[in-house]
Amino acid sequence: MPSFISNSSDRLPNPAAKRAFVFGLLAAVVLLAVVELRLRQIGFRPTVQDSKELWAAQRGRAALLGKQALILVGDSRMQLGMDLDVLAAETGLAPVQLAIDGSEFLPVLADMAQDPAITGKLLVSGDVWKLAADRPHDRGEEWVAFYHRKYKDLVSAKLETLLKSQVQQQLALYGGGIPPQVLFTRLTSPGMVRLFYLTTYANRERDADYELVQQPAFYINRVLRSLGQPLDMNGIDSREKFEQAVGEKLRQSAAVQFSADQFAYTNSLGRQIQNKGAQLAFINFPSTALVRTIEEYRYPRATGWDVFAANSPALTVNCWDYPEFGFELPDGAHLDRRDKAEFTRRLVAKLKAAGFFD
Amino acid sequence: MQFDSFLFLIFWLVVLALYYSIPDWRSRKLMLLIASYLFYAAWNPPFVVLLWISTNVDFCLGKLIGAAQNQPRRKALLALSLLVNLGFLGFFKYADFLNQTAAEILAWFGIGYQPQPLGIVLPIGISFYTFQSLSYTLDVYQRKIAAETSLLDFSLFVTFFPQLVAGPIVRAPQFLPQCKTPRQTAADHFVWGLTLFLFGVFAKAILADVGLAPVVDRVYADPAAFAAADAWLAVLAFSGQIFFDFAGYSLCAIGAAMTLGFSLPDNFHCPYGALGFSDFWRRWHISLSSWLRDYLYFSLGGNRVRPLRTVFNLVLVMVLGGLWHGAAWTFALWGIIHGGLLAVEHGVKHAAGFRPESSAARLALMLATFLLVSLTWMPFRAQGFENLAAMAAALVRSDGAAVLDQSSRIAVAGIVSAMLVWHILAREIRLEQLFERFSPMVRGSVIAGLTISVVLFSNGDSRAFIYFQF
Repeated sequence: MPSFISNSSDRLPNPAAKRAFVFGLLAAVVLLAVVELRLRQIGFRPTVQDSKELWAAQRGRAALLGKQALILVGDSRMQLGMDLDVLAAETGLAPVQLAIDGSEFLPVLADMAQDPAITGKLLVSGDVWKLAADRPHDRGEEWVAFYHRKYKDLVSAKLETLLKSQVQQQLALYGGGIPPQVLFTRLTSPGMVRLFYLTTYANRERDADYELVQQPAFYINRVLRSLGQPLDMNGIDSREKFEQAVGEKLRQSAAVQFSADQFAYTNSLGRQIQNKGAQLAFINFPSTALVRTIEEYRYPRATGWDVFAANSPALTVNCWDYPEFGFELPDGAHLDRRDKAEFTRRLVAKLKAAGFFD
Repeated sequence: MQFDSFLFLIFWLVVLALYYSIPDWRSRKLMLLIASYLFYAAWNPPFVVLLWISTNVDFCLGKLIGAAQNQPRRKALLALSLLVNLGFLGFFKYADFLNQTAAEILAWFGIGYQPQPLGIVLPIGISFYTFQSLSYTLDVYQRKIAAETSLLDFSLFVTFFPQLVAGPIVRAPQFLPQCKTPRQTAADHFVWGLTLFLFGVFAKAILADVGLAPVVDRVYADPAAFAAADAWLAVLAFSGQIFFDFAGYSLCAIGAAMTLGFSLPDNFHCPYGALGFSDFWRRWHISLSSWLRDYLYFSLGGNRVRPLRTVFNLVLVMVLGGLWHGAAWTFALWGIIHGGLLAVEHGVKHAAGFRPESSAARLALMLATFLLVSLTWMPFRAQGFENLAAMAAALVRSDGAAVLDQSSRIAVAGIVSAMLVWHILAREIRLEQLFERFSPMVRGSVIAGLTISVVLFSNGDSRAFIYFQF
């Protein structure tokens, strides 16, 4: 067995290590360049991979910006619905995207309330059924913990996130939207694989291009997710039959009843935030078609949003109440990238009219 | 900064550019030292002070020990070095653990004591540089080496960035002589250093992180949800994960040092092709196991004492080795098991003179060693004794759902089998010799394949090297 003590001359394979390495590296660079060009040729664009590191970078920014920060908290509706350039231009503030796809907003809101450095303005997209004190463990909690325990004090983590997101933003082959396992299929049979409909940017702004999704399958999936119960799709061959089946399923479930107590926790967070001199507004984003039907049935406004809004110390805006927010939502719940800027402009106008930016 | 990061890539390129543009050797070393402090500060700047104190204390004490003729004075100076180094290590790594253990012992006697966690942040790599620095004062005390006269060289020995945070643990006689003359780096050396680095990143980022870690994490997170076959797969997957993670790091360190003309010792040599546990420990984390052997096991009398005392020595060294990895009783258990296995093996060799000669017997012994080592990784990986018990129960349960998807199973089985075959076939030869057996075209293709894989597959969530936490 060789000694564990070695010197560099022991370690040299002979001959031609240099030539093999240079050949290998050149071959790799050429092949990767070909893959990149081919991906772009068939329509793929670079996209940053949304991750807890990327979120943590923005979370740190929110604390640094202080009063200048316009912090966005919520879920995918907030992340897909807000145009950060428009927000910056319309408000003069620096938008910080802290919404987390598929998560509860309460862990992030609690984190905002506890941090004395958070003194800016906060926009929160929240569904009433998420306002209860008894909150489930989800990604929001995990990402907040990651920021405080493994990110906040580490210089290298911050620099790495910055570099990585910039590289991902430049290269289609390095983006989060391309699972390498299916790369070969994509390169050789572009028609067989659909382009990824989501594009994320280094500032965590996200675009959804619904022209790239297969309808009505995408819409049906979204409705079924909102319904939260399995539905037998056998024999359902028209929109009417689908709506009927969803309606029947819905009637088998009971509406959620809220009490004012369940909003106490969220309201206490709101007061904590406002006591620091920060401002807070809750936005109920628009929804349409069956997604809206499900939400209206399952979480009745009279005992849900309306009670919450009446007791909230913060400003509340329900987009369902205003016709200017009546955008067509391709999946019933999210804005298409083409409508995002206009929606943002209208929301800012509404908030300005309510004195939120005074 | 991690080796498999863009930040390190930029840092390394800048260091190489500066290093090779500075003609003066002393200035080069100074630049390397500053770069090493920056490398460390990139994690947590205040902890650089700790590193600096450790370096300076041992440099001064080494000189004093070297100059002292009076034995009690030499002993006192060595004790001071041990106190400072182990004091830092003890405070940062074990304070909360000892506090919690005290509370548990008091609870047995019905005394209620509920300490608040001290919330001490562990300085990264403290276990590694403490042992490295300590080995120097121990060597000077034992008159194996003369005290170092250059603070610059000594500081570079403790702080050299490729091995600073996760080893290999380099000894002073291996490194300090390299500081005395300018390092000459031939193009072939430089390129082989890059190749080793690429192997290391591939092992860590692709095999450990992408191929094996997801299965390990899923099963260990909720062992009760998995069928026995999946639990076994996770146990074997962790054997692969920890090997590729740590051996990958060591290869990166050796490769990065080689591009600067420095040679670092091997840290792994086909450990899963080991014939028994003493052979395993000659092949796994070689720089730590040899450190524990030379400075602890031999100091306790090694095997030149009564048989029972030898057993005690083996178990004690392995328990301390376990606790070196982490402040938790599961690590101590891991050490006890390995110490016990070493003691049994020692006894069998002595009493029965067991030496497998035939190929079949050797192969059987290798596989048995691998299987037992894999099982002993369970306390190492488990998050506490409850998790360990759940994992052990999952291995023998007759029900449970087959939750893992087929592609994960195939990936784990493929990677672990290939690793095992490689370790068994290449146990007597080095990586250099193995690589040399292929034609330049094959070698070039391997490098191209690894580079492409690293670029394409490593774009997910990055995981820290497992050994950073030690």
